[in-house]
Amino acid sequence: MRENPFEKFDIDPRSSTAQITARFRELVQDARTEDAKAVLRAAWEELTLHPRDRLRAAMATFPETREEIPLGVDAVLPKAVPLATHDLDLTDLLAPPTVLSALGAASAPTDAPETLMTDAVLSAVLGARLTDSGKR
Amino acid sequence: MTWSPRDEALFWRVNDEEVVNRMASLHVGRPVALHPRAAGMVALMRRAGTAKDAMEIAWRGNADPLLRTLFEDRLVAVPPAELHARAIYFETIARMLPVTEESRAVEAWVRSLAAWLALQKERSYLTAFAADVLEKPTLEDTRVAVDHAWSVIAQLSEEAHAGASTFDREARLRVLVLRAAPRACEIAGLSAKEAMSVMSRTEAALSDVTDEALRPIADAMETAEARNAPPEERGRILHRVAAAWYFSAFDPIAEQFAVDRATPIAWEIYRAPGNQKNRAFLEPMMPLYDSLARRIASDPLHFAYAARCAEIMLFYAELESTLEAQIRGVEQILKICPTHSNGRLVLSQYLCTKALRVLTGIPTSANIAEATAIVDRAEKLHPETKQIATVKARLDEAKGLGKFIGR
Repeated sequence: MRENPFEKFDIDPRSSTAQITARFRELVQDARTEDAKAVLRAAWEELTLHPRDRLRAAMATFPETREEIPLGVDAVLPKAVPLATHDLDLTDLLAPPTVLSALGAASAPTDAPETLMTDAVLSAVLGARLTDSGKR
Repeated sequence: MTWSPRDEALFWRVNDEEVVNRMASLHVGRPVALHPRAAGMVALMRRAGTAKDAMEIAWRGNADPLLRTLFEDRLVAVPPAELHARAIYFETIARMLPVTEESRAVEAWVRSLAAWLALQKERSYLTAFAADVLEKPTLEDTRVAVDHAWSVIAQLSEEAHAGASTFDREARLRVLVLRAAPRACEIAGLSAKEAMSVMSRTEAALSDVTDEALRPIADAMETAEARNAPPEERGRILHRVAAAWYFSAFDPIAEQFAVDRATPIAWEIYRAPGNQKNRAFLEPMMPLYDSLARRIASDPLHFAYAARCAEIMLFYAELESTLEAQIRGVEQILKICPTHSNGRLVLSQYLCTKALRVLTGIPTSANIAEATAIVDRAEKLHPETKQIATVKARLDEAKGLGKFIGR
């Protein structure tokens, strides 16, 4: 018995086509072999290009009946990326181009990427927390 | 820091996950972790306030009472979302249970099927679910959700069919579930008409599965017949029908197959010298013939097989080691087919032999009365039986001797 794709790839069965595609894009980026990518592509096609297969798979997994988790005070839902569902193809699975690649290799920063400690805002928050805990 | 609604929701999510995994682990008999969405089933039960005491006991670590609440006799009051979650829960458990846990796995499958059947009546839930998943579903798309219970039956049938020719144990589990469809309908609270619609599907699927289990045996028999294989060899091939019968959960189709295919072989062996070989040939298949005989006796639908079943059982009755056992065997045969001419002839002969045995030694009035009754029955069964005249002559002698000695 084949594992249900909604469970296997941890996707909410009520997700829109755009959300499903976004999730598979993440998974394809993480996939290490061509075989793994092929499996992901087949599953993505099943869920996005064949509505009845998607509904069949959604029926055959646990429905989402847990409490909604309210957003935290600072959290804001990212706006759903509008995506035409009628003409989806495999290129939708490709990661969108990054700003960095658009600027070209010459513009790439030479030093290490931003981290929690190098980001000005985050390091300030972290510093304040550390000071607080030091005072205690 | 304050306890926010987000903390509250997260707390319950973790708690429900813990409870559903405790239930599943108890159910399967080893630690298991279900998909996190499975916690939704517990969340629904908790919010509905059903089984409140059992829920509290589960929070304290014992999920047994809560698990028991899932085994209600009827699902009529269960809300549709919970039916959906239960259908998936029970199927997940059924697939996790090892094949050796046959009765528990079948029970889980039956509960899952019952939940699907009960959910099939909740059209507004299913239509809304389709719209939730597909944004703008067409009518045909929505039918996928509305008819999902039929897909479940089709899937079970497919899995049973796939393992039929090798008598696979997992496949047999599916057969047992399909056979238990009437119970699933009862748990689902279906009307007689709704249940008929389910059963017409499961019965058609079961016939196909049994045919598939018998197919390799029929093929092998045909090949053996084509090369004029001796009856003993064809008999050994036919013996596999007992395994097919067990696989099919005792399908009468397998019993009828065994009767049809065995009769010509049994005649060949019977006519050959040393016909005791028929015992070795028939013995492994006797449970099938006994089962068919019981069906014929209790259900007129099987009556068409009465004469054929009687004929094959007669071969075996003749092989019994004592006269009493032989008589008992043929009496059974005549119960399922009272007009069976060979059966009547053979019983008539046995009764004559019995009457002669009764008359052995010094005759008494009791012996004479008993032998008279026996030979009367023998004559009624088959008037042309040759031994009747012998018994009557012996009876006359006994009566004369009885008068002479005054007994």
